[in-house]
Amino acid sequence: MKGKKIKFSNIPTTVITLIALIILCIILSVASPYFLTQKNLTNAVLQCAINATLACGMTFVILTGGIDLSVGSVVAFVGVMLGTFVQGGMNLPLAILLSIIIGGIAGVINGFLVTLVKLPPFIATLGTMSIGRGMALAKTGGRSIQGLGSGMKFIGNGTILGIPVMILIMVVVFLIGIFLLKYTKTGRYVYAVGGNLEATKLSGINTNRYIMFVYLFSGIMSGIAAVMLTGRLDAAQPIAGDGYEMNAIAAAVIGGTSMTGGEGGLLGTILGALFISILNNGLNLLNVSSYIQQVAIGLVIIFAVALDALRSK
Amino acid sequence: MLKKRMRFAAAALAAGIAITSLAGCGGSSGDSAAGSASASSAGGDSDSIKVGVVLKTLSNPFYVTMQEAMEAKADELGMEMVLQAPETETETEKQMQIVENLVVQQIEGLILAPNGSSELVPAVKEANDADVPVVILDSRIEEADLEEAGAHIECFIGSDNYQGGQLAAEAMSEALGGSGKVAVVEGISGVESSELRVGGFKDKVEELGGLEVVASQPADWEQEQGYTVTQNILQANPDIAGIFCANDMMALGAVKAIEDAGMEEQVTVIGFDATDDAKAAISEGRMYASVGQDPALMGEQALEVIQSIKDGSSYEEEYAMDVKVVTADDIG
Repeated sequence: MKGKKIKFSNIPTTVITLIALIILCIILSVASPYFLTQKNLTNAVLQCAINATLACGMTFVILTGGIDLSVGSVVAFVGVMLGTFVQGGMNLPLAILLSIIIGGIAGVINGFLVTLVKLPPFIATLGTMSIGRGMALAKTGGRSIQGLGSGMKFIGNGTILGIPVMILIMVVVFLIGIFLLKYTKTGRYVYAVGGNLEATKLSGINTNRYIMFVYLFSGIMSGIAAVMLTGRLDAAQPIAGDGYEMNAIAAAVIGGTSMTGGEGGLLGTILGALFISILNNGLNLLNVSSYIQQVAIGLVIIFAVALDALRSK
Repeated sequence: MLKKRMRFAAAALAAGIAITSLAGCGGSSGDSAAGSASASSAGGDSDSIKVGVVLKTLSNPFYVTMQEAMEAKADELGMEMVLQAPETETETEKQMQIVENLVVQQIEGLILAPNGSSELVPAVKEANDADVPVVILDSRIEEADLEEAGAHIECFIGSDNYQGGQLAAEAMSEALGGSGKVAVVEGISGVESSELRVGGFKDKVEELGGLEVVASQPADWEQEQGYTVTQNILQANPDIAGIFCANDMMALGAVKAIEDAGMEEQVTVIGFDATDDAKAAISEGRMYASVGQDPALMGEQALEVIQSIKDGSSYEEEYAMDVKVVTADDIG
């Protein structure tokens, strides 16, 4: 291992994730004649849009060494609020804007609990996860809100220039996220907070401000994901988004973001989200049962993190 | 250095396991695909119909029975069947993904047991757009929502859930000698099959008189929640005489809660679905009765309808499969 010119540990994680993704695609295109069709590839990307959006927010949070377990519940709560607004006859853009703001408020509550009340992020967001789900159920009496009109359907199932709207939203979200993370002070401090909280504090930076920011950002992403999911199903379900937090964490982790913070990025996350989605899609095409799909995702997570741990030694 | 090697070996081992197990999955599914393909090729290669089936979940024995019967029936009809299901009955978007992935595989018919009364409308539309005929199984999709989306289905096959609820009320009244306090454990709120079963039960209770419904709570079709909800009902109503559960999973949870509370002499439980587990509990005397649907017959009927559509022969727009109360006498 010593003599090799290109050291394994020098290859960026994103490149390895990309290579893994390409290998997966090659295997699937050999295994199923339906995989490499335009329609199917569009499906696979479409199917990752919601998770990728949530994972984008989750990556910010994880980069600070935190976690946001509330995203799935916030999706459900924002969804039923959006459904209520739209059915009440509210102007659609306004309803959507309000929904995203509600997501942001949920994020601020998380941020408040973590920074000022000083709760561990796991506990704070475990609490808001339960509160969000309960409020969504209470708001609707457990029923789903149905038939939200053509505007919402357009978001979920429409296309612009042949590209599904959901995919466009995902791309815009990631462009904004990447810009924030790479080219702004905020982004650099997010890494700094996760890399070494004490040192960052000592250098005179208001770390709470950036921790607050990542939860706010994650909340906004949950709000956007709620709009997407509600559009896709043309209905708002209080039980929607169950377990979505785990998929978002998985995408970030497979993409090389370290759970201890300070390391990783959004390119990796989008590759991670794509990997999960394409794996699920491929296993569907191969008629592999959903039980085994779970096993496969689990193995991928363990393998990705094991590989990372190995490389960093 | 040694440590590093050990780590590398460990990671390599993990990779090996991951790859072989994935290859294993691919292999086994390949085999089964080949198996069904060869089975159908006996009836003529190009004529075999490829039908996609999406059930609510496979973690409820009801749907496993349905799956097994459908596999046998597909073989008999010379169909190639691709069957998938999400893990839980709350996963609506997952069902949508499965439908999208099935349509890409150029299925010629779709049988869908939807997890939601309108959320799967976009999925039906997707199948419609690809000229795939859709048969809805087990629980209904709202007609108005389909119409509004410009989607349509060929046929609905379901049990007469309202009648089932009524039969359960009659059986309960009989078992309790005509009077007593009863509770209802509901399925997921807003889902038609739950509403109808519970509605049928309550309407009949009112009609018969004598029984009094003192609690009615959802337990989302799940056994564990059925246990918890029943535990709470028993706490609040120590003089309860009977519990009607809208499916057998919840009924089995209820039975366990009642036994743990030592109230099995006092409380009569009636479930819905007559799954094998419930029948076993009934024959052991732990549960009084269950309203039997026939998942096997429902699944087979769905495949037959797809066959009729393909043959151009006639079929009904709706099949309401009869239900009946199953007690220890019926199991023998």
